[in-house]
Amino acid sequence: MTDFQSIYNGNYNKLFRVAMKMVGNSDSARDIVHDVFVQFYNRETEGHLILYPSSWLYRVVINKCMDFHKHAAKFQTIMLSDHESADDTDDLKEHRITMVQAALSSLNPHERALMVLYSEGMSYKEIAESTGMRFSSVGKTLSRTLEKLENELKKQKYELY
Amino acid sequence: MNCIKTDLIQKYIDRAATVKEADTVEKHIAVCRECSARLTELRHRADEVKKALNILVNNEVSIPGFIASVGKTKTREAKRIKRYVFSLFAASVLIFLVMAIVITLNTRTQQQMVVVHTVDREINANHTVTEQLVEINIIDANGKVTTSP
Repeated sequence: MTDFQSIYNGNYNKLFRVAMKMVGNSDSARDIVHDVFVQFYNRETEGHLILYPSSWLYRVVINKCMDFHKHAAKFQTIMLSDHESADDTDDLKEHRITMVQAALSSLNPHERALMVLYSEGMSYKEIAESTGMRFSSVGKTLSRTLEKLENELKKQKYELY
Repeated sequence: MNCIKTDLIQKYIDRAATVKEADTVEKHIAVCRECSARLTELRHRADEVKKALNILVNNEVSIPGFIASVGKTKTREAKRIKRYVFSLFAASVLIFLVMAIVITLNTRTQQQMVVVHTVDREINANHTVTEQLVEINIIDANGKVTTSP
C-alpha cells in the first residue's frame, strides 16, 4: 500500500498535466487520472505485476484521453471556463489558451499525445514507451509534428516569437 | 557540403542524438552558418511550443486523496453471481409465462359450450317446418334451466 501511495503521489501531478493538455478540461482530466489509478490499483491487488508503473500509467492515460476525444462527439461540452477571467490579463490568457487548444485539436490524436509528452520534457525513450511508438522514429515524427503545430499556431495568430 | 537534416538537428537539441551524431552536428554547424542559424531557430521553436502548451495547465495542482472501492477486487465474482441470479430470474419468468399460457388455453377449452339437443315435442303435421312451435331449454353448468319464451 505504501508502494501504491508513493507511485500515486509521485505520478499524479505529471499525469494530470498530460491529461489536462490532452482533454483541455480539468474535471475530465481528474476523472481520467483517477480512473487510471483505480485500474492500476485493481491490477495490483489482483496480483498482476506491472514492471514499469510510470510508463504503464502514462500509456493508459494517453489511451483514455484519445478515447475521450473519440467519444467527445457524443457529449455536449458546456464551456464553463476553468479560469475566472476578472481582468484583461486573464482575458488574454484565456484567448491564448483557446488558440493553443484549437491548434492542438488540428493534430491527429497520436501527434497530440507526442506534443503533450514532449512539452512535459520527456525523453525520446520515455515518449516511445508511453506512446508505443518506435524509438527510432520519435525524432523524425517529432520534428515533423513540431513544424505542423508551429504552422497551426501561426494560423491562429498566436505570437510565438 | 552536405547540410544535416532537420530531424537530426532536432535530436541534437533534445539531447537524443548519439555521440557520433552529436559530433557530426557540432562539426557541421561550426562551418555552416545556415545550419547554425537553423539550429538556433529550431531550439527557439521547441522552447516556444513547449511554453505555449504549458499555458494549458495551472502550475499549482493539488493531489486529491485516492478513493478505491474495496468491493472492486471481487468484481468478477460478483458479476458472475449477478449473472446467475439474472438468468435464474429470467428462466422462472419464462416458465411462469409458459404455464400461464397453457392454463389459459386449458380453461378456455373447458369453458367451451357443449350443445346437446333433443327434439321431444310432437311435430304438428298441419304446419310447415318453419311454422312449428319450438321451446328451447338451456341448462348451464350449474344445472339451472332457462326456458325461452
